[in-house]
Amino acid sequence: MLAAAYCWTGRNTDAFPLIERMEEITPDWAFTKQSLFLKYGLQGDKAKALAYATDDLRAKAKNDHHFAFHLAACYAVIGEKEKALDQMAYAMQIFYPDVFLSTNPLLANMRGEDRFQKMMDEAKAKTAFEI
Amino acid sequence: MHVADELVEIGPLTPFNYILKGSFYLDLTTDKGLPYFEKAYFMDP
Repeated sequence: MLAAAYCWTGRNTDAFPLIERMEEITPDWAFTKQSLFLKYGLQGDKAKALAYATDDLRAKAKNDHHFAFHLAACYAVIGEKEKALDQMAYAMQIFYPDVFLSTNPLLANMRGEDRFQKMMDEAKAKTAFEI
Repeated sequence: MHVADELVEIGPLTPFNYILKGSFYLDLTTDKGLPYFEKAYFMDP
């Protein structure tokens, strides 16, 4: 959680040692693999990042909207916008914290996309309605 | 008092309660939630 929070606040270099520790302790956990995907993406190593973009991770995202959000951020960081938007659209079927998503630095690549903007508009509407 | 504050008051030694409190800030100012995530982590790395 702390590693993700560091990345959400732009403190990527603080996150990396925690992600490496996750790799030591729980190498097979889906969140470890997703975190490694994110780490290599943030370091600009797209090939290494994509090595973690496995069918297993996509299957996990299909069964877990929250995980789909994390996977969306990974794809966004490496510039795979359509894949990021697909994962985000799935996540936002039940999860739509629009302010968080609008300010999250990991999603910066998606902000100029019409689909992302539509999702944000829908999220705002849902949040306003549900409050 | 927010429910996250109540949880921290009831269970100040429970790391997950600080994660919940930090999560409360995610849709406001993520920076403000970060100290609570750090506290939870260092209570149980």
